Amino acid sequence: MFNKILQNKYLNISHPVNMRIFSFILLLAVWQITSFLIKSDVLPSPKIVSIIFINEMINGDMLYHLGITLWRVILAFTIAMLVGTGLGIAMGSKKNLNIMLDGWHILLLNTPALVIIILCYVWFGLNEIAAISAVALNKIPNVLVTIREGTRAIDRKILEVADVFKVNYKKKFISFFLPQLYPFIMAAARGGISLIWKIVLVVELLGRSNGIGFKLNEFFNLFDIASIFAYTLSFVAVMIFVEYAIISPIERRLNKWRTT
Amino acid sequence: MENNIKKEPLQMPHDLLVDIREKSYENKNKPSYNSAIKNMKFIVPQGQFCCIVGPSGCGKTTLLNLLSGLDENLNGTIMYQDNSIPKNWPIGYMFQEPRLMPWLTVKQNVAIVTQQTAEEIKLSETLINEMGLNNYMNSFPSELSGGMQRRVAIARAFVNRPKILLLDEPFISLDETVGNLLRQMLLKLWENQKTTIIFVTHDLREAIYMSDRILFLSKGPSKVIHDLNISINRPRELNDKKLDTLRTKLISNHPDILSGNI
Repeated sequence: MFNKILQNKYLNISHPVNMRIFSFILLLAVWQITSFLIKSDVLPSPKIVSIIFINEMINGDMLYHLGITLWRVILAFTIAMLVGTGLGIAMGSKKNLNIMLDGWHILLLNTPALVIIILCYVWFGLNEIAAISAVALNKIPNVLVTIREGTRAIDRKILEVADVFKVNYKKKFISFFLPQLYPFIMAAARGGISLIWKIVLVVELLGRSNGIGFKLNEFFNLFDIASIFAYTLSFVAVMIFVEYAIISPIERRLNKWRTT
Repeated sequence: MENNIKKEPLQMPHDLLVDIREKSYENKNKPSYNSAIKNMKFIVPQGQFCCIVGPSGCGKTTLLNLLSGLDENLNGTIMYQDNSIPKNWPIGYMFQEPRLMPWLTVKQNVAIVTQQTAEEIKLSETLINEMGLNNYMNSFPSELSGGMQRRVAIARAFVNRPKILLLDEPFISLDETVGNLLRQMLLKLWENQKTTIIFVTHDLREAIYMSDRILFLSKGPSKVIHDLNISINRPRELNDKKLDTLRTKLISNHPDILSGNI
């Protein structure tokens, strides 16, 4: 009887879902115990953070700031992916273009994010265009590196199939070229989304009057650590949702042929 | 290298005319006088099954690349039905490897090279059925054996109803049983569609079994050194003694023919 209960997948600790739940509960327990032992405002307990989180969600303006930040993330992510993918494909396919642009690319890749943010605010003013440009410019070089390598790894023999069967250029690109690039695009997207939302917070902190980054700065000045935790958790929750509800299903769909 | 494709009158209409004065190596490290093909001329009548046999590196694949339009850089003429072959003209091709898209199903792999009209998708399904793969229509290439993948490649080669079908040693590295099955499937489709076939092979027995005619090529720079019509009636049996007799006779008369010397 006891063995039967243990063998039940919903109760078996070695089941991946149960292991994840256990790991999360363990983190909460460590957090609760540490905050109880420290007894200081610098590490509020999960209970206090939860109360603030719910209160801010219902009565405060957390949803508004969350929405603004999410919008900036989506916009900057889309621009970075489109420009980075376009340049990556072009530089991966054309040797001379790569020689021409590689220096610029290395310069941008090694310029600190903070420098790009400050320069964008100085050149374009403290506005939305500067904020989005700064985030996108920080991410474009990383996307470019991944996509350029992907383009170099394209199997030319597959493209020859399109050539001998006289497939038109558009179809050759969409049906023969791009699918080979999907793993690289997904890798760039996954790395991009996690990097971009972190940069968006810095951009908001330095030059915007709304968004999670702006609020975190406000709470920092008030030394309100519990609210910093609550706002951070809200955005982490959104990004986990994006990972599991959007990116992972797309990846599973694109990689279906690998798993059969 | 000049791209000198001129319109010339054909001796026989509706034939494939190949008249290559010179095709040089693309590799810049090789000297310019080192031609891959020189003074190669032949005409293939519509619907003929023509095998090309020659030693390794004699330019057989180069010839197929020129015929398919993958390589347009030649000094000479390639014409079909009195005209230069248009760039968008459908040509069937089967490579040494199946070259299927691993992310597409069997049905998608065949249909992808068409305009994907309802009629063409139906034809894709019919060809897949004829290849005996009706239960694998929605399988991915990774789920198929090497022989089955080649059957998909045969279906894909015929799906555009090509006037010319080019095959570059398509059954190489298959075991004899699977190879023979695929040869019979190919012959059946060819007899139904009467496509002009240019079939490159190293295997003289395969060439005699399959073809109406065999063109033997010399070592590079390549040219036609022997043109042999195969007069054995169809359908041919794989174990027909006439095949072996002809092969033996050919080799005894021309001992160096397979090495490109005669």
